[in-house]
Amino acid sequence: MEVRKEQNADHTCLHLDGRLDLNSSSQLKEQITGLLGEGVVNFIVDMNGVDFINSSGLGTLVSILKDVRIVKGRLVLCNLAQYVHEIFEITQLSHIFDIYPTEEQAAASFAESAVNVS
Amino acid sequence: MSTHEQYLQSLLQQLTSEDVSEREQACLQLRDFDDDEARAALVACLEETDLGIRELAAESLIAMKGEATASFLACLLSHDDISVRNLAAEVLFRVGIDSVEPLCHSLVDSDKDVRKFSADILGQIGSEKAVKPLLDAFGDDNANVVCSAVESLGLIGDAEAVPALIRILDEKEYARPEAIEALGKIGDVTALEVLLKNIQHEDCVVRLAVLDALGRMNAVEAAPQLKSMLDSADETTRDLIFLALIRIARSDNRAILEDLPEHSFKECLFRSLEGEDKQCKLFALQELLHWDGLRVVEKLIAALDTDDEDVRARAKQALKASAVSAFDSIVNALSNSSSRLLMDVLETISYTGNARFARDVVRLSVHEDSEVREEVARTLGRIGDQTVIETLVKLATDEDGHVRSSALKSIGWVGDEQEVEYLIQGLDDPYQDVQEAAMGAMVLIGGERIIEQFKADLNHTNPRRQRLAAMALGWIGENEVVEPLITALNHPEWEVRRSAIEALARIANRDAIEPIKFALNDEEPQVKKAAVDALISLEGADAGEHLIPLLDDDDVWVKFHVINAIGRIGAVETVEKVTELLCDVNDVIRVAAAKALSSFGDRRAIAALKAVVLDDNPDVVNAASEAVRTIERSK
Repeated sequence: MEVRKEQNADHTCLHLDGRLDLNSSSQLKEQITGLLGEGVVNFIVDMNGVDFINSSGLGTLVSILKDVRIVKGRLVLCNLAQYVHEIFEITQLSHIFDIYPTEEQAAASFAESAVNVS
Repeated sequence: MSTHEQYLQSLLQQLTSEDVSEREQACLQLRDFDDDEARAALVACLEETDLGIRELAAESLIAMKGEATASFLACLLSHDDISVRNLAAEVLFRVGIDSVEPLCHSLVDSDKDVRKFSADILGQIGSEKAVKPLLDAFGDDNANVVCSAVESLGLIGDAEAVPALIRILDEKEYARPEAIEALGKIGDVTALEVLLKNIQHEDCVVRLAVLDALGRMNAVEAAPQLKSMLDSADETTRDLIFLALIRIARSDNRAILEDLPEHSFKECLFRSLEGEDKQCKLFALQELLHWDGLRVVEKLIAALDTDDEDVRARAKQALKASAVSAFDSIVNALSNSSSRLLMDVLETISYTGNARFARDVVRLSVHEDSEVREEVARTLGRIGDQTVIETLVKLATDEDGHVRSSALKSIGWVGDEQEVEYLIQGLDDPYQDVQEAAMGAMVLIGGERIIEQFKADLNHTNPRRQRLAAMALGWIGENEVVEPLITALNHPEWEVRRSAIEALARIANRDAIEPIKFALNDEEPQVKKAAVDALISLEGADAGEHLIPLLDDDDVWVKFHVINAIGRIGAVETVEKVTELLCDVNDVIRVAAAKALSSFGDRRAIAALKAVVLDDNPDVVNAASEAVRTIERSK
């Protein structure tokens, strides 16, 4: 699987391409762990190019979500293919991940949730 | 006497019957007569003691509409019985524009109550045709009539009334508050100067009316003066100033709030939340997205207590943004609150996913309302802390199926292989939702133990467990599940065989291609169709040659499915066989064949397609003609 990183003002977008299975998901986990270490905490994971995801891929996404929450960051998903949507429904992950139809809408959600603490 | 006339007379006679249902029938049917006798009879029915007859007569009069109907109704505005007057007024209002002319006539009636009623109804109808007669009513010697005319002009909102309304401010002191309110509703800028002049009026009723009017007018010019009055204003005046500022700000003038001191700004937003104006509430909630702190959260929780879905949704959104900063307020809201409020607050906690809330959410796992327990299970899953597992396991055996389902899903998000036994129990739950929740959770947790369980389940005594197992192995999707799924292609249950094929297609392991080709010969049509889709998903257009034998399948729907599939992938090598199907005995097959040939774009099919113009079925002819056009247009 290929991961292309795109840095934006308030989030980092990771564009995934290929199969998200046991091997590739560990690669994604490592990459995000590295970014968390650098202080990057807000992520969009663009699933547009993901044509297969299995149990290991899902488990890794859940694990990454937990890691991001620990550092009070935010991880959202976008562009889920029909097949990926189905497995998110079966496993009810659609209830714990914030999922947006497009990258633009996902990016807008970061702008909306920006909080000016008084 | 014509038949029509005879029928009318019989209905009028029927209105005198002692049988209520006969009178009701007559009331209903009289609406179809454009006749003054019918109108008069129905208007008379508004005076009936029977409320059902009154309502039916009123509905019939509304359906009849027309100025003639309204003229009859206007006569009832001077009726002795107030309930009859009110009903006549309501019907006149609902008749709408046709009532305007008769009501304008009634504005000069000798009875002052009729004049006042008429002015009121004209305002509710809101027609500009009434502006001139209402302005004339300013000369009425009765104060109530003048005030009603002024108010109605405000409701109509026509700027033509503004000069007269400004004049009346000086000429008729008693109508001053109503005139100011009307000017505010009309919103014409020419009134601004006179309103600002009265902003510090000695009469507090006038002052308050001016503030309200300035807010309604979105008078950004008034903002500096309004803000300067804040420090010295009493509480009621401050409330109206805040409301006026919010009304002005929400109309693309947010900047006017920016130089307000913080406490005034927040107070302004809080007051808006307590008011009646929905748009102001929504504006305030949008602003509160950018603030946090205890008091903000308390106000947001209070704002959740409404039936207005838009306001609740915006309040929840704002609450999510500030929830963690006001932990104590959120936790307090979990005590002694209504179920609806509890669920909103739990949803907020879900969003934060903050483990600090876990202990207080766990306390609610024994709440008497099953919907709250269901939300608790979901929230605990989102919190995701290991300390909540024990509670989720308990909720997985709750008496309510929705709660069990929610708990099992959450175990999938939070748990690991240690919780597998509870999930396996869920697979045997009497409710399908719970079984699927358990299966989904197991897919999510994955691992050797779970794969072994599902492999074993392929031969379970319960066919439902067998089907769930085949599906689950597909979703788990690891290479080690391919072999048991291939074995499952020989399972005695066709639904298991179909699930196994779908699962193998998802995993896309090449080892599955030959067994799936074999499944094209399955005895069950549903399995064959699944095999067709799977093979296309694995091999794309190369699958075409393997599908040709199925074009002779005994099952018409298998054949139909294959033709469509072949058309989609453009398997041109099947063109001859598909062309033969233009003569199939089944219409649906002939139509599908024509469409598939159209997709191929192969000119060899044109002659056969043209021959189809003699087909008995126009759908076949249309599909063939369209195919010929498409092919001829293409190279």
